Amino acid sequence: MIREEGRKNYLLSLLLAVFFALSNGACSVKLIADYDATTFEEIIKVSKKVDQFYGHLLETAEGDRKYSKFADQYVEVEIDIRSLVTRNQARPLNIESIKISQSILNLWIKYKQGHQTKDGYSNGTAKLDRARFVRLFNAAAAAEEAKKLDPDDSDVKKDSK
Amino acid sequence: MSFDIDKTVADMAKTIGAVLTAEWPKIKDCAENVLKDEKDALADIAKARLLGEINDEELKSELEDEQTTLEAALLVCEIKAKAMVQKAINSALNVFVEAINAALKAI
Repeated sequence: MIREEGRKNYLLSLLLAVFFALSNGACSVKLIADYDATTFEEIIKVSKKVDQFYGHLLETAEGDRKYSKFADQYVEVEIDIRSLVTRNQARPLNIESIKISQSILNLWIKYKQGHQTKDGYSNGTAKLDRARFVRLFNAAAAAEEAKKLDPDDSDVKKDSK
Repeated sequence: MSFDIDKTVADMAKTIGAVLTAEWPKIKDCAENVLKDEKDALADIAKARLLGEINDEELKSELEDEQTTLEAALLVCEIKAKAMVQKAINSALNVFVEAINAALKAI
């Protein structure tokens, strides 16, 4: 629950924002990017690929997880994640999704380099890293979903439905 | 022409209040879910270390990555908060435009 004092200040700030918008001749204010179905589908597709990668890795005997055996898959997934980052970067008002996809890319590269350096990937870290990617891709998908606004958002009578 | 600015502003404030009341639980739920997931993830990391599945160096690395993951998850709540503000502002603008239109019709 927003505390009463904070709530009043917040309400006042929003009213000021409305007047600022009106003084600029705006009829509506936009703070977040529009929902993009293609990006959402791409998130699901890449997420599945990453999960398949870890499924395959964990099915391989721990002592037999040479980097070279997985190098092609690392490259392929990295390209897909980079494409997701670029897609997010191309959309205005999309800073949060850019940051989420960039974090996914950074961790993918980090784990790839770790695998390369050790020429192995332990069960313990693989299980934790797999679960982490599930959460990160869930965050990316939820971030896109959050941009799917109700077309009748401007009708306050429908807000409490 | 009958345009009551005081009433219009009061209606706009009421509209903003109604949107915030309706939308705030979504932000609260979002933050609570993120914290619950984080708790589960930290428990899994602790369990892995206690079972000897990861060493101290790996534990340090996993905790660093956990920070990145928590930040990413909280960004979803940030988008939801922005969506709430956008909705509140646009609803209030709508009230203003409707008040102007009603006043123009009365001329």
